[in-house]
Amino acid sequence: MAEVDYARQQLQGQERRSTARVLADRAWIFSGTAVVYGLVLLGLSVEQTLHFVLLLCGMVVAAYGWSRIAILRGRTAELVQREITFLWACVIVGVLGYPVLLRGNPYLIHVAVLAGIYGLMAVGLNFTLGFAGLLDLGYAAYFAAGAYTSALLSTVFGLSFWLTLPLAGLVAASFGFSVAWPCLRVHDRYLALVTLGFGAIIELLARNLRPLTGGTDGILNIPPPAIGRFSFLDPLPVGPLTLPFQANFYYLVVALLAVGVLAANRLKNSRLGRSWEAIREDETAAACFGVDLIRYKLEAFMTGSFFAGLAGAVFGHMISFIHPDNFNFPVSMGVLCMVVAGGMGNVWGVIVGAVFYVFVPERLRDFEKLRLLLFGVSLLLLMRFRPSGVFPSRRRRLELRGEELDALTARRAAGPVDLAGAPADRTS
Amino acid sequence: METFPQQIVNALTIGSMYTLVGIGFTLFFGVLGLINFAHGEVYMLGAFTGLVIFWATGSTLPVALVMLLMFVGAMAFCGGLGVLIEWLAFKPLRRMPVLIALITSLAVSIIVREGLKEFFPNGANPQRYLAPFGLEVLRLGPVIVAYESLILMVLTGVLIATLYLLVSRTWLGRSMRATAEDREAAMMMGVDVDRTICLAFFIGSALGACAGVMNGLNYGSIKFDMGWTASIKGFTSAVLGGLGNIYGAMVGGFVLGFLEVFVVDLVPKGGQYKDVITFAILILTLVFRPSGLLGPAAGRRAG
Repeated sequence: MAEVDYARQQLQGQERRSTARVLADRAWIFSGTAVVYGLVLLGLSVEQTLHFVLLLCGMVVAAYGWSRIAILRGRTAELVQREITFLWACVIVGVLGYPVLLRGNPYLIHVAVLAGIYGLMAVGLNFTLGFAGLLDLGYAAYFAAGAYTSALLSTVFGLSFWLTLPLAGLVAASFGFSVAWPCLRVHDRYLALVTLGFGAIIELLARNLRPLTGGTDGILNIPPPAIGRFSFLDPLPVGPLTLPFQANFYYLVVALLAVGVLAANRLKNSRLGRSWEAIREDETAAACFGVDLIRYKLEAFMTGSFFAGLAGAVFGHMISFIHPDNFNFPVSMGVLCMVVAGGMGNVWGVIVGAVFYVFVPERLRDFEKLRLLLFGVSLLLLMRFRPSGVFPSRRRRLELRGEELDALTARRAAGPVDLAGAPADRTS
Repeated sequence: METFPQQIVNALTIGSMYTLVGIGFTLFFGVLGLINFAHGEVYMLGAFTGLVIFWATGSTLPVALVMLLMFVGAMAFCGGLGVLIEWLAFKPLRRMPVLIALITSLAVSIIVREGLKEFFPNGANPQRYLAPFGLEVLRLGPVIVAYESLILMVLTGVLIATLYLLVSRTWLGRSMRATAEDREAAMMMGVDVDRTICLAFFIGSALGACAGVMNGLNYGSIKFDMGWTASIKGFTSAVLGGLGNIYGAMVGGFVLGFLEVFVVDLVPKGGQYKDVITFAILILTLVFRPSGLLGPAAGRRAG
């Protein structure tokens, strides 16, 4: 990576843009972000379900068209590359401004907090599944571990949330460790079944160990976090404005999410991230090159479960009530879908996946009964036509294209096959 | 605590159902390397197909004929449905990574379950099932055997024997075992792999549907969400027998049935932890003996 960074610096150094050009670039970036942001807000605020569906379809078609027209896509990529810092600034302002703009509608802020909590879980699972390629179907177990740890510590021992939050993460990570330890012996499909079993056992224990977890009554009256005298259930004053209390949780979740994204970006090209990637690509080859499989697999599980634990803690303290149903198999499945549908390995993709997963059903309340059915159908179509997810990481896209090409070669072995654009190592 | 012979009857009854569902899982895993979460829903749909047939014919035909029709109809319908699911959902994904097929099977399972829940009349609530013998039971000394479980055990025995003969003696069975062993090598030896996969899906789904009807007869009511439990039990049976090992699944379900019944009986408050036991068996088998009870001790690496 060092070479690439060096080359990029050289290129940027050579390219001196006039002030007018810079301003024009920034204007484009700003207006682009503003339009997307405006459309999102519009999508959240339209009253009728039909309008929402039309808007959603329109946006999907527009985004797809944009990505298919090479010249538009190329220009956008160049622009983003030139003004990446400015784009970041716009995105950050947009994210931070969300509760300010929607202060009249606390419910939408609440939903955004839920999306953030799921996003945190998706970022966590992305370490295990997206980076290291370890399939975990019992991910809700770590969410449960975090939520119950934090809830019990604060209701029974009266510990502060700021102490229980990291403890929840650590306890969840130790759960991750104990799941991962036996899992070192098994691989993909078998791993899926083992983790599924663990997830289900944790849920059943939460349901049946009444003295510890309250059984099916759950745990009630979990206190909200507080900073000094300021409880998170108080409205948040920002200058002249007063934001509803949900904004407190919103900023908390955004901060945690930022930590997650930062960790993902820093780890991706570190020794750890590279080792994970090597394990995902080919375990045997990785082991031959001296990657310590046991250590890195354990670390992948523990990193993933740590973030689920954090998410669980925030969830418990925000809702103030937890119940075994919050941690059942559909939750694990939902997080898995966010990661796979969003684009495995791409941390932004999985967050967008989580946002969609939480917001779209909220907006489709009119179709209450058909929501799950629609979810199933869209998942099926997505896996069929875009198996690498909506926003695939580049590497993953190439991998899957390779698989498709293998199939193509096998099918048309007799006829000529167009292999243009195929990754070279896959065509042999 | 109930008497020992009584427990054996109970274990055989639930073991029969687990076995029939487990055979499906093992067949799909064998030919496609797929953990098919949609199989539990096919089982559920089998029970509902039986219910529809019962509604249509129950008032006009004699009970024995109605039951026969229920089994045959459910097996034929769901066998066909299994083939259709394979063709629509899994065939396009033959060369995709495991994860994609797994999520597709989850998607199919959601579609089938939710579709039934919303479009079947009163589908969200439990449905009363045919109870051909009412409360009459067969008393063998102290042991009580419901006529339903008797039918269920005999039918399972017949089906397993037929399947055993099919798999071990016929050309079709051999091509199925060959595909399970090594798909590409089988293809090179002239096995029509696509047809074999279709056949495996037909047989697996039909047996699952049969277990669904049995479940309805045995417990007297069915519900749209019954598939999930069946899935768990089914793939635990398949894992116990060694995933992909067809003979293994025939045994695995009964082993699981016995373990469950006796643990629930012997452990205090065992009833609450019944499913924990199933999952623990699943995990322990996968970790320590991934080739199953019948497989060689140092079998192929689980991967």
